[in-house]
Amino acid sequence: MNTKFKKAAAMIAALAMTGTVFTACSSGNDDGAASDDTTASAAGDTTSAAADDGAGDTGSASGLSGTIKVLHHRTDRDQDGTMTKLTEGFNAIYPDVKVEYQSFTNYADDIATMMQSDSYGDVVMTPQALKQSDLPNFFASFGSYDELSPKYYWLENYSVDGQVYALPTGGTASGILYNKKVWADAGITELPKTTAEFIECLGKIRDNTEAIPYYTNYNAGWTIVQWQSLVVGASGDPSYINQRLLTDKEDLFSAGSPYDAVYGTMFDIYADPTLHEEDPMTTDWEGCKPAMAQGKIGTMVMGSWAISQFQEAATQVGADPADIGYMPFPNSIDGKIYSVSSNDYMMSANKNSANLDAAKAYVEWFCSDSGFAQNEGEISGLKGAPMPETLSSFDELGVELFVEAPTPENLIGKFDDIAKTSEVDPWGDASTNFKFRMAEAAFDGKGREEYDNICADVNSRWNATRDEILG
Amino acid sequence: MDGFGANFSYDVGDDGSSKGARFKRGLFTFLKYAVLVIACLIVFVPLIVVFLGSLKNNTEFLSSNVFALPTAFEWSNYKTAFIDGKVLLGLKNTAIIILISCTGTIITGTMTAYVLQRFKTLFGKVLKAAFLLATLFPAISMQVTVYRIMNGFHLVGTMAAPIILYVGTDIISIYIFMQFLDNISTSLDESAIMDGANYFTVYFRIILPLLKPAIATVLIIKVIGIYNDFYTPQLYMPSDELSVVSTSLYRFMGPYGAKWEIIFAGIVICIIPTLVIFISLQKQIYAGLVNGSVKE
Amino acid sequence: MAKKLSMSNGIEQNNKLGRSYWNKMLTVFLFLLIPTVLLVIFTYIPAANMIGYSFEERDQFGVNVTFVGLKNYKTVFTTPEYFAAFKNSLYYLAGSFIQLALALFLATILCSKIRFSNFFKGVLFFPYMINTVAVALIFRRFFQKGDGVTNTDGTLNSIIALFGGEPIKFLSTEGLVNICLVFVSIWRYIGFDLVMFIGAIQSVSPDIYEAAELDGANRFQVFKYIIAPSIRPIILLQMILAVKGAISVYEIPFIITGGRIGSSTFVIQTTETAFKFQKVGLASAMAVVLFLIIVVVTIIQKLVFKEEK
Repeated sequence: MNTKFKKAAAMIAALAMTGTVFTACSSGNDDGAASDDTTASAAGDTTSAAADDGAGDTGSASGLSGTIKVLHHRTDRDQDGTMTKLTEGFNAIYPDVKVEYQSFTNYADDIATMMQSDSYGDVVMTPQALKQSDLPNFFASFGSYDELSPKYYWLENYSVDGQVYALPTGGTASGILYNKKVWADAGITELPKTTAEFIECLGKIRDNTEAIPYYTNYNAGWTIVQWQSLVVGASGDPSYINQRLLTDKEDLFSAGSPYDAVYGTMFDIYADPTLHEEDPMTTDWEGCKPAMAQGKIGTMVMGSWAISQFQEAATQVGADPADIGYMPFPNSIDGKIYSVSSNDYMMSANKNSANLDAAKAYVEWFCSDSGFAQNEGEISGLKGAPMPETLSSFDELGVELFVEAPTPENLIGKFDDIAKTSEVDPWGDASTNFKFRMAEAAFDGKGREEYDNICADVNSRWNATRDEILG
Repeated sequence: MDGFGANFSYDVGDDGSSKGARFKRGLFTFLKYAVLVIACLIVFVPLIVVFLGSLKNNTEFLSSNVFALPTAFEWSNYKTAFIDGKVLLGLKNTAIIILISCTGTIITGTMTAYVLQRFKTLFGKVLKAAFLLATLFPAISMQVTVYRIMNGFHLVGTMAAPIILYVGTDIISIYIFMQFLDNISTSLDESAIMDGANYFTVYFRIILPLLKPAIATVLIIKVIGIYNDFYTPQLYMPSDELSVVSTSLYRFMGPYGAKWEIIFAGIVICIIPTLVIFISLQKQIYAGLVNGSVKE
Repeated sequence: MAKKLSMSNGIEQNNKLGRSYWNKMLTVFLFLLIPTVLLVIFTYIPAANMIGYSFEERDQFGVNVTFVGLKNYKTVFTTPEYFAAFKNSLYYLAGSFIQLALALFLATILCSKIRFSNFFKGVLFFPYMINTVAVALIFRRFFQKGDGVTNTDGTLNSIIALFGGEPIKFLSTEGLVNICLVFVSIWRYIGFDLVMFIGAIQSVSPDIYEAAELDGANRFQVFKYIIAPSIRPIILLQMILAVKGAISVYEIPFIITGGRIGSSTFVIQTTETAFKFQKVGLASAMAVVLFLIIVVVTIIQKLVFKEEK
């Protein structure tokens, strides 16, 4: 399920620390860009005009009035006044609607608790943890899927019975953040094409530079979840998670499986103390940004949403923002490298809202006309909108950037069910999660044997629950 | 009665007449001080590092030894922490919550203690047991259900929510008040009753004044507890306008976290008010403890 | 009624007693009204709800509720992982008894003839006043092992280096991390125990000490026969709180390590079960089990104390 992707992106955004302006804009319709994906264009490409007619359908309804409360996770954007500024744009169309913002540092937890009652604002960032089938219990529909899917990406996981309950605020691509100068200084002239080459490159950084080759940023917890966002890309198959894993009943971990490619690589890096920082439990997310900008850190696995933050950090410490590079996870499939684009938080309107029309108008406006995604350097949720410049490097490598395939009707919610019930939870960051167990086995020098044990345990739990749920 | 103060001592024993005994006592005294000094160092060292760090600039912070003195005092860290951390707003909100909660705790706590300790009613016994039992509940695990109830009263997002929790679920204060009442002879209030005073008068005129030292103790514990509580305000007052010191510190350094030296400055700022209050109330609480316990 | 009847007898004394009886009841009622209401609404009803949830399968949004009987309890008791976290409680249990003993020891010293006792007391109490979030950050820096590139050694490793030792990855090493967290816990909370003990020791009338002195009692005897009995209720209370605390440790490991590197605790697992795996029913069952364990421990403790008397 794509939920996963949201989850990753959201987790990042929510827990963490984003905070910055992605430089938006647009290098246009490259091959890698999302316009040719499976899902996306499913209903035909009516796209080019999308960007400007975003609020077209609602724009005339300016008779709306009332006060709406928007609950969101971007405390930074509240603090720096971006949200208030955004409201001016909204009020230009709907002068009588008063918009109030309330932001939460632990958004995901707080919204879940608040939704136990009816009072969870008028507009919310759609909680990641909510099951797809429960969306209509809480949120109002924005229209039918058939009507909206030509316009927006990533609606599949937010539609129930043909109705859409959330719109995308933006999205990101999966891959690896690196310092170009460090990599060049290490004598690397070409980006790796395989995971083995990737680890070799880290070795070169260790041998030839002062920089820490790979920074686990382990303390923050959510940082390890970034690895999971590489899995679908590593499979090169848009339907790997949503369909293949469920219908073909593949093991998550088998030699060379996408999971194995990603986490095996992670394990090998984490198991070699010369390739990462000394004391993973005392790392510091804010501190790593200027450190990478200054070439003290070579590499980190991180969604593309992070690029602009690191560039901003570079500017702040007087380093060159152009040194911050972004590459896909180098798991070649028949010589080709893939990456996946996925949505950040979606936005929904509380169905119990006293000013429901105003709330819906706000969401539609926010997701199409506010310019929020562009300002944040995210991939726009509107089909046909240009790709952000932060991803320009993908073109050079001929990376194929795809959107995950929609989940077949009968499998909706199943991946989540299996994930939570089995507690394998590939997108999770509970302290007992297999990612942490692998990392800690690696730190402890327990070797590949322990990795295999954990894989076997994950497989058996996953398979047992899958068979129970899917029959 | 007030004369005992904190220097009151029970130190008795060998009268130190022989040389050996004197030496023994000298060694003993030395060891006592050594233990205390070591204990204090253990407390101090982590804090000194924070203070030193808060005065370094970023480059120095990242490169110098933790014990190294800052080459130049970087007071701007404090300015950044103070303004971006919205400390003033946090202090104001915290002060309001503390004021109301403490007043509430003292009134309900002393009343409860008075009734439970002086009147041996069946209901009192049951309630006492209920309070004791309540201390055993796993508070954090229960927050999901508490939150639902708070929400039912439309109290989430208001200061009333934490205030009610601070006042309504505080067993330790009641325990302290009861302990004090245990040590206060019943003869005073009994004779007042015999003279025709009603229980309200006894409570206000006799019990409450007698409990003053205990109130000082409770106040300190309560103020510290509320000032440092993070979980409750974070859950029940998530909006920025209702930040208290701990949540504004967290919001400031958690997600959009500043650099370490600025975080350290934030920590120091957050500690200063408690330090001031503690130093000014310290004597009262110790003297209060002693006074309260030597009546009769 | 009996009282009222006696009133009609016209005996003044009885009249007084009767009035005072109702007066008393009124006082009991009024004085206990608010605390009782608060206690019921914000402690007992949530507790009852929680017990109800523990027989259900429900997620954190409160939808999809189904009654499942004892299934959640069965899961708790048949899945060894859930109980494994109690292993870490042993660290904290040991820690909290060390803390109590230390606090008692320091309190005894501080109550003897000593200069600057207020100063020492104040310093030792001080960490109790520091915000948990701040404590977590302070100690992350305290235990840090620097990599020489992005950061330098933390406080403890700097001290170790001062004595020529090799720096240690305190928080990234299994086992050691728990000892570190227990240390933080003692560092933070010992001051509270200390103040309670000092208060109790000083509550003993000096006359008794004088009498003891006249009788030629030594320090140990004074401690054993005078101090110890007088502070027994406080020790009992602190022990109950300590055991409860050790079994339900949450804040410090949660903020410093998030329960990783083998430092998870049962309460961390409970909240993760509720919020990360969305199994609120199961998490409620875990909370109920935790509560029952605490109750049992408390009863045992009380019995032991009674026996001793």
